[in-house]
Amino acid sequence: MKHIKKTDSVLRRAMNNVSGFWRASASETLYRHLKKDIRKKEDLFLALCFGDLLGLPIPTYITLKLLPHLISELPDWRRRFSRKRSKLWEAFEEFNKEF
Amino acid sequence: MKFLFGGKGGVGKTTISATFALMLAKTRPTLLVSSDPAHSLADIFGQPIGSSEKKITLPAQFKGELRVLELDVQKSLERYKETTRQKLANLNINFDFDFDKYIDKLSATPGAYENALFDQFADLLLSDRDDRLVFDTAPTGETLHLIQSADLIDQWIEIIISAREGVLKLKKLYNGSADDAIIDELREMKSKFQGVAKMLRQPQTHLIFVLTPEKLAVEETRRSLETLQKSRFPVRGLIVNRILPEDVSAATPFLKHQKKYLQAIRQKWQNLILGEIPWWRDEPEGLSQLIPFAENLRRTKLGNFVK
Ligand SMILES: Nc1ncnc2c1ncn2[C@@H]1O[C@H](COP(=O)(O)OP(=O)(O)O)[C@@H](O)[C@H]1O
Ligand SMILES: [Mg+2]
Repeated sequence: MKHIKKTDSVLRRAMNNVSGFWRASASETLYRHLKKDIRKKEDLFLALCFGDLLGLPIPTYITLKLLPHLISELPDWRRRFSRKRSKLWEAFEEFNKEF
Repeated sequence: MKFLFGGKGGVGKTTISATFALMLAKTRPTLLVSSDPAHSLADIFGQPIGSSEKKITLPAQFKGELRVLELDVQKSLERYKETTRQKLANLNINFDFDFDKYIDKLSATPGAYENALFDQFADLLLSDRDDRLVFDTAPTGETLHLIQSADLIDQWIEIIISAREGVLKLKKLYNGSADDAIIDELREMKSKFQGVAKMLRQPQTHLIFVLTPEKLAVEETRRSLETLQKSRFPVRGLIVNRILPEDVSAATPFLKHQKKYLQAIRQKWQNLILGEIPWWRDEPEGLSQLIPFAENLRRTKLGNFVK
């Protein structure tokens, strides 16, 4: 959280100072930070969406409704998942074994 | 105006709501919707009906327009499964997780059926069509349960919305785009729940229970009224159906029981009773029966809606 806030404000300052600056090579680090933060937030979001696999009592209504949308994001986070073993990834594997 | 008829199985919901819809149809186009998986509207109208709106052929002298619809929740669940699978197949990626099985598992839960029914019910209830809507077996069982758990679902939606907003805020910084189908879907879900809960509390929505003067029907009605009251859904009234005439042999124990429960109903729910319907000698089935049977309904307070 703190980390994200920091990136946020640093970024905003940078953008205020020089427009178009942050895509320049000097801002590569910021760019990377931001990407990492997005991934973190996305993981949290996905963990909630597939919460039933993690034992969260999330209503099936929500999962069923979101599933078609989530599927279109699959290619993106598949790569990440295979690289990094997250709790959600473990839950997916657990599900595969169980059924 | 919207009318929802609920009550225990076999008390006469289908008979009453079909007759009432027929009565309403005389003054304004009316749509009768059944959400009971064991549909019986085809029997009652003596005409095939399906999961798309069908106009009922009425006798020539009977002016009016009545359309009927039997919701097929199972079919829409199957369709959902198929399109979701298709989306998955179109991506053409090798994902180690067995989404097919996952979709199967999710849609086999009792909750999924409830959800699909809620969606169809909500879409009809919230559509801005101007004909009158009559629901047979509306949200007593499954649907009502879902609405009652709306608070819980609402909380979850709220949590997931804020998680999604967290993603979007950063994504916007990253590439400037703010469009997101997921957040749209989430907000739509939220407004659907709120919309239904609100609609059920509107004065133009009438939640009506049918019961018979029998022990189990009385008890189930009491339970339903209690739960509805707890979640502050107003019940407009009761129709007491299938009352035996006094002149059948007073010795029949059945009549004695009925009298007891009828008295109990009149005492307990005096202000809620909209009307009492006699036991009809013939089965009230087919238009030739329903039209005369409608006279019983016209004499109740429900008759006020066609004046
Ligand atoms: N007032 C009545 N007099 C005689 N039979 C009735 C009356 N109301 C309903 N019935 C019959 O009772 C049975 C159950 O009614 P139905 O409307 O199908 O109940 P529900 O929809 O609540 O399950 C049907 O056979 C119907 O014809
Ligand atoms: Mg019925």
